[in-house]
Amino acid sequence: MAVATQPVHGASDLYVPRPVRILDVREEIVPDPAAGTRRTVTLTLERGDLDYLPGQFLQVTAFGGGEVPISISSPGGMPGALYLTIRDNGVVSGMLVAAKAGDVVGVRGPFGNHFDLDAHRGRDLFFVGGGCGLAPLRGLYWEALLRRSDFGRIVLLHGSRCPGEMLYGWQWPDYERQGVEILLSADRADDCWAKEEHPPRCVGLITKLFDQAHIVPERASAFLCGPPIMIENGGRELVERIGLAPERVLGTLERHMKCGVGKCGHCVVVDRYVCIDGPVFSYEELAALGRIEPAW
Amino acid sequence: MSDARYWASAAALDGILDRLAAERTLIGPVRRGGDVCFRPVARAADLCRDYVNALEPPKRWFLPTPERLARYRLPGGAPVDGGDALRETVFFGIRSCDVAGLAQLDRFFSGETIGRPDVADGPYLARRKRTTILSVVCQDPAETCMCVCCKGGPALDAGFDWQLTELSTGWLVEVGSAKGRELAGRFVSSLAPTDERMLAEQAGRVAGVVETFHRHSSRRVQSMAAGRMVSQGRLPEAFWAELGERCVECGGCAFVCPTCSCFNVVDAPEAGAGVLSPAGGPEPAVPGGPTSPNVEGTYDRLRLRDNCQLAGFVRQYGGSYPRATCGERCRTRFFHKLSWQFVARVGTLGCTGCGRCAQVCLGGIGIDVVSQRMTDALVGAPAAAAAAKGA
Repeated sequence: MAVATQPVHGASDLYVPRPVRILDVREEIVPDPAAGTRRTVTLTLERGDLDYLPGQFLQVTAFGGGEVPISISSPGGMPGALYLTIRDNGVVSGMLVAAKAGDVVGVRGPFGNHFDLDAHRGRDLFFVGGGCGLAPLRGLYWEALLRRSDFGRIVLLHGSRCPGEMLYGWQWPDYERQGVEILLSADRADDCWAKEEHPPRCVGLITKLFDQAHIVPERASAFLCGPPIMIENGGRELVERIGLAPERVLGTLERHMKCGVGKCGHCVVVDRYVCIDGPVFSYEELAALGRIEPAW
Repeated sequence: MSDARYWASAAALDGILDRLAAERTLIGPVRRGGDVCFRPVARAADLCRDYVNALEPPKRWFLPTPERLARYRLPGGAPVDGGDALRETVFFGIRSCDVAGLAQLDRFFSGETIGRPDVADGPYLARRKRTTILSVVCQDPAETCMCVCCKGGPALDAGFDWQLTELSTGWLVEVGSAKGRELAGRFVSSLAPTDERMLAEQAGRVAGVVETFHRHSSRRVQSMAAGRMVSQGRLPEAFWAELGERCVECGGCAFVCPTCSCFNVVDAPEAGAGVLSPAGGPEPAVPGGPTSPNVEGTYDRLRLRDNCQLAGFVRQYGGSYPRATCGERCRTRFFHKLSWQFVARVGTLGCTGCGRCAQVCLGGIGIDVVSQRMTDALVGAPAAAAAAKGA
């Protein structure tokens, strides 16, 4: 009697996380139940031989809890370490933000396509990040800063629900010294915040900042990340009102991928798998998807 | 096209199946409480011969739920080697619609449909590699069968290892793969050459099924017109909202579909597979999150069947909730099944015409009804009715 057997797992390590050590934890946002803000931290992970490009994401395992997709928030060329900014939003992200330096998390990836910065050489770059949506853009604008002379103006537009929910404020002075223009918006804010003059700001939606940003459409490229409605409305404003070419407006979509490799089906938008075909899409592509699945 | 054909008497085929059952796992149709399901059998005599199709497609044997994808140990998260051992398996009695469904799953899980062989799904492919498919051509289609519309049958040119057609004098065996040739070589003493009469009888029987379908079935998958409407986003929101009102969100359509394969991935303590079973056990660790995270021990990464019709499928953190309404979820499902975009990507319709969704849908919105409504929306209901009458 011939019985052929072989372990299932010998066949693939597609779903097996690689243990990686946390080198450091930086507190980004302090939880404030009154303001509705949740604790947000940036984990510094050992990079090892992991190669990635801005815009890509990792599937990050809180061992014993599960796995969530997290964008990489550091430039591709950074030696030794990589950054992940994570907000306490659920069971797994809650375990990840509670981690300490020295703890081990699991990673799979990197997954997805990426921003191609070379295609925007010589242009003014506008980064539009709503809330936590700034995290996936951070690796990109950081990389642009490392190649500062390749680009024209670099403008960072950051909006959030309230001032306490803004990300990476500790880096702004350094950015400004390198010539980055920073504009802020908060959906709601007290007079004290609103009256401060620096960085320039407004109370309201992030799209209100577009008029303050002095965008010259012929030489501008924009990169958006945030809630779908922000990407949709922001992209439309930039293309239809301000006049940017739709292929020069790029958005990165967020979905709760379970696999990262185009199999589980959780990230499907129309006929696109965000984890494989995205997460970076041009406004042109997003508008076409929106004609079949409005608001994606 | 089949590369070799043989004839086997009914006794010879049973002899082959008995020998296969002795040396491998033989799975075939068996009757369980009025329904027919695919289950392991010890001998050919246990197989059900009088059936249209099984209640469930065979995918549950290739995508079992829960299925362990990985195992790691805490503290440290180091992967633990060793998994479920796989036996060589023979599937007997799969209908052509399910063979076509498996072929689609093969292309999907191998990464072919997304042009990414580097992300082939090992666990699925390992099961498929160890499986031999002996399909049986359906000669008595159910009222819900629609394979003729979807190139899913009644007989196929490829996708099987052996395709069997019952003739008046025994069985016609068509060999469709290297594995099938190897099997024919092993059982060469039980097989005989075919003659023209047998091939003509098979062609006649297949043509008879097609004719029966065209004459008697009122059900169709209207793929051309429906594909046009759904691919171009031409169906108004009200169309989907109405489907959403009829859908009871049981997920039955996707669970019984031979080509639906969406899944969830969760991590659970080693005993997780047990506590996830309907039999219960201690407080479930997942879904809903671990009750005691980071406890020392061994954890399993499990794949669980999931379903795009269920409300939580695309739920995201922070309150963002794409496709919050049931109608929007219906749109996603039918887009995946019928759109040109997915046909371009997958190579075929996402439907093989098995008719199971039409059988199980409590809201009466199987793919036949919905694709007909899409056609009505394109050409107008009266014109569609006249066309149907004319046909």
